[in-house]
Amino acid sequence: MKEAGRNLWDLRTPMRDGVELSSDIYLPPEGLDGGPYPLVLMRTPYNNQNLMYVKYMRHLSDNGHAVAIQDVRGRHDSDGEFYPFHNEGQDGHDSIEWFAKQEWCTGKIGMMGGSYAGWVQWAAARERPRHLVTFVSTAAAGRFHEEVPYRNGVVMLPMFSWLHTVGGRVWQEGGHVDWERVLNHLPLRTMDQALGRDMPVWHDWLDHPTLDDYWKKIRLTKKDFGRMDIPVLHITGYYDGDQPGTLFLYEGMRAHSPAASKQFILIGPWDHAGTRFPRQAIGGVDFGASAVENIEDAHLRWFDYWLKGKRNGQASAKRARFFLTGTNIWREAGGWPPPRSKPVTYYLHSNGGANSLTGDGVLSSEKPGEEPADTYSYDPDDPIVVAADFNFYPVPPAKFVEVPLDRRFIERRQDVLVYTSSELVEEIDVVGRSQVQLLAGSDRPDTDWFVTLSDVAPGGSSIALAEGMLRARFRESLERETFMSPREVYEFPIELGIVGHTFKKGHRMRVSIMSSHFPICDRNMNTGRPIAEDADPQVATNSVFHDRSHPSRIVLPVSSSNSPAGSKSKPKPKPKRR
Amino acid sequence: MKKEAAEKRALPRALGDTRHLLNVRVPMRDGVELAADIHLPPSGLEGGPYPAIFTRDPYNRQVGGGAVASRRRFFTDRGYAMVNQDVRGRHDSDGDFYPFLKEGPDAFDTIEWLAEQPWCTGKIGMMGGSYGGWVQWAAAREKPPHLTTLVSSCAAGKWQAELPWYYGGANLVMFSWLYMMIGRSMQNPSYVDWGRVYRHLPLRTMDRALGKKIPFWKEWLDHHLLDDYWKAGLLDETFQELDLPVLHLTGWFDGDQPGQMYFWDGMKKSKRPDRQQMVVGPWSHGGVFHPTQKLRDLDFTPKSVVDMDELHLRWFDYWLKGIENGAMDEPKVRYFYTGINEWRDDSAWPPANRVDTKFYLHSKGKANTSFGDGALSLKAPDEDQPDDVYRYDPEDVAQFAHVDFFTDSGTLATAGRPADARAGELRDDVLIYTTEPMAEPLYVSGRPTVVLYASSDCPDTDWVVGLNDVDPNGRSIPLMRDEDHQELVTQGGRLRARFREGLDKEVFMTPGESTSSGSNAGTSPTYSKEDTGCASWS
Repeated sequence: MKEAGRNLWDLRTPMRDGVELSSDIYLPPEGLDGGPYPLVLMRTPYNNQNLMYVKYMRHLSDNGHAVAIQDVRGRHDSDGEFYPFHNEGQDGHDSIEWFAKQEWCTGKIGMMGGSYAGWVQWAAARERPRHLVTFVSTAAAGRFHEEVPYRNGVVMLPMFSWLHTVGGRVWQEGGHVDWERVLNHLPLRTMDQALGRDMPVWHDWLDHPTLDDYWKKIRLTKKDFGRMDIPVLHITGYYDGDQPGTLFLYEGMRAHSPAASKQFILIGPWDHAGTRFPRQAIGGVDFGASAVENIEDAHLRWFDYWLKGKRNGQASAKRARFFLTGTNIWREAGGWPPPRSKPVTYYLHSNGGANSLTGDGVLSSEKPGEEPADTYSYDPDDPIVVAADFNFYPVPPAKFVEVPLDRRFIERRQDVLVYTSSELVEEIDVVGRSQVQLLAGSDRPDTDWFVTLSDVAPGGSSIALAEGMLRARFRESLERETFMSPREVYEFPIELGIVGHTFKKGHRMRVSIMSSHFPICDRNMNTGRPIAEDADPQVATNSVFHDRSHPSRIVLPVSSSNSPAGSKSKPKPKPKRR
Repeated sequence: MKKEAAEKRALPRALGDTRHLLNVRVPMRDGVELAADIHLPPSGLEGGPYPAIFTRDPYNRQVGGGAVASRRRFFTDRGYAMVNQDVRGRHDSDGDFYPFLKEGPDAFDTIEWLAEQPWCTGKIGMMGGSYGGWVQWAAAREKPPHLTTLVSSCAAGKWQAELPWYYGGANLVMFSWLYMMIGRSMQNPSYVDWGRVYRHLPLRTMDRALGKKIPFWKEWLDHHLLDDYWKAGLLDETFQELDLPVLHLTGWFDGDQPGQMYFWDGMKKSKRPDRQQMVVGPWSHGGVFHPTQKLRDLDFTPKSVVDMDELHLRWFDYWLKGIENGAMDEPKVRYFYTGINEWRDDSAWPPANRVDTKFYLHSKGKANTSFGDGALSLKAPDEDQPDDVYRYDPEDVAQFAHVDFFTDSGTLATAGRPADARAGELRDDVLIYTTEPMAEPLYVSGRPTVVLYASSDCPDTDWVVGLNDVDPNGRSIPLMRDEDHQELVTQGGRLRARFREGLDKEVFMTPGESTSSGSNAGTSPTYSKEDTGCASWS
């Protein structure tokens, strides 16, 4: 192929079972004659011809790396059948080892990619291909059942839409579907019939509502991490829907990998797409120009160092680089979460009327005394709607209509409990993961809990920082369902997403609690019946307790000494008790 | 991996009010399954049966061919089921893609399968353009009983006199097309250095220069004549057996105009020539589906922008629903006069009242460039006029096209560029013959034919001819330009000299001999092309 230029198109790579996968290869300007080159491989189900990826990776091929973009099995130009998440390990391994043998390849291979293309890197790494040297794992899925398609027992409905989009060899457009009608359909079992498409994988997922072997098979274990001696750059964002997976994989490597000291992490104020194509603003909140990090250069620097041995300072860089929202500056630390973060507990308070942002809910570091519980009705037929557009995958040039990060549009409802601190007298940095312990109950055997942590500015805006959720029946374990007895109080541990945020002086901290989050999440029918089959919604009366024996609370990772303003004393918000 | 619900069935389970049946697997006679999306009127599955409008193309049934995405809703809202299929081997359809020549049986099988569906009345019309136009004719040839009518837009089909070879010359656009088509999904041409690839010699290894194996390119090179391989794709022997009503749509600047006109002319021999209608606008290939008022900097006025949705609807309402809407009382042919920008109705194409008029080439032996002494007039030449001579060097070609016709955004690279072609007329290897200014408007509509008496000192060479309108400001506007693929690809006349006696055989010239003069007088198929010329200057 000496006459070829910089490209090899539709290169067919045979897998161990004989199925051929298709890759496009982009070489540096010197072409085939100038090789061999190290190779950076991306494997995607979203069409390796997508210009979005090509443009992204051309930055590497313009700078001395060969680049391969491969369609995963069963997608686009690759043969075989696509089955989400389960098949990618061996294909990744076989592709890497095949590429390593090509005469234009040095045998040093890195991987990159986001979301599904992030997950496939871990699936490949688990197979320990000899020539996989490093990878950049961006917004990677991987914490199955605590992320997608279930999150702590709740069904993430965008994954139904996603199964639609990957419901053929090529991307299936969704612009013509009346998603409002489809996503409102009950039961979940026949949602595909409402759509008009056979979705066997949807049924497989519905058949596995607990964290069972179907999911465990694709979750990396301590043993897996312990055998991965490989440097990885992890990239996620505070608003990235695959943040749970990315952090799970990062934390796994930090805890168990022989290359624990070679794990780097980059966390920006980004949503899922923003982890690859950072934007300055999300949902009406502007994070400043520095939010638009040059991700392409970060990749080049990484691969130059690990694949080419270029001495560019990568090795001595700080292991964690993260954005601090609120002040909108970048910070660096030796790891994530930064060691300076200390858990500080804030308790929920009220006189029994915390409903909505005009209620009497208070958040403070004081423990509760004897206080009445807060109660609301959650009606599955009138859920809290947290999307403006039910079509999660609009056909370009149409764009998904962003929902405001300012959550007041939700907090005005009577079926939302809102707990707000007094105005902070000093700024507080909260960096790391928050945990909520909810003492609560229902008059129904099952319901859902959704918790949001937000920053309330003096003008009243309530900007969401992190969210968490739990389906009540999974409070003891994701592996089994345990239903509630009416009027009993249970403890619900709810993990929130990570934050890196400065609450400024005069701002307030807010925790809000509700029982629906539609259509991002399926609606709990409150009956305790099987999730897939239930089409009989019952209204639940749910109560959140905050008294001496039931202190509902949130534990925040507070890192005040890390603040450039140098707050000296531990912040003491003064609750306004009413 | 466990794959549940594997029970084999073509149709997805669906609820009664469903408006979509997506990725439906339609079985072909050889067991291969093709993918179709079926979009129903608002009353859904329960509200049927409906007549079906059926498209198939290799460009992704969800977006394809300009026919599908934007029109789906228009027709479903008006009581039609819209069925969009990926052809064999493309996108979600199984099997292997075979360009052009094997589409008939698949189309037949799908039409007859559709006709049996409970939601379908059994009346099926096809629409679509380009490849999606060709597949309609491939279907028609198989005579599926339930195929009721066609709306054939800019359909390819005049093999070797259109594509992939054009009167003996390889149509390089089709090499790019093959590049885009080899793979299940569309391959994006934006990152190919086409300037380098197109200059590669020999043609046989052009795919290697590109970096991709393209077996069909070799197959086409092996069939560069109009041989049985291509003749099998022509409908010459079939037209007389067809009785389908067809609405034919094409444009003066449509690169597949030769194909569409081939079908128009062919259906004159059909059983129902009275059921053929045609509309020809000042449109490019893509413009036949989505007419635009402007091409480059030429403005054809809002009149040129026909509502294609309504045009299709009227036709389908008449033929598929039996609505007496007067569709067949329309003039048989409507075509647009460029120059004066007016529509003209006629009962035949080419127009019956035309007068074939010969214009002769003149010069004093120096017609080279637009500044030469070439003239065009009604007067026959004298015996002693000297020949015009030029040197054609294959390594220094008159380049009419920007090789980079693919932009990242998919828009035409020519959009907004001047239509004026004078820059190309400055080269010494271009002979230019121009009339005097017209004393009164000259209306030209029909197919101009050029008979060229010429020779070469080589055994073979190419002749490329274009007809332009020179305005009082000196702008030279090509009247036959394939606007989607730029300049003289199929729209100018072209003939490779060795094929002057027929596309099915090669006859080389004797160097130095004036081979084509005399003996071929009047019979040479040198150059024939549809065009409506227009002249309204004095």
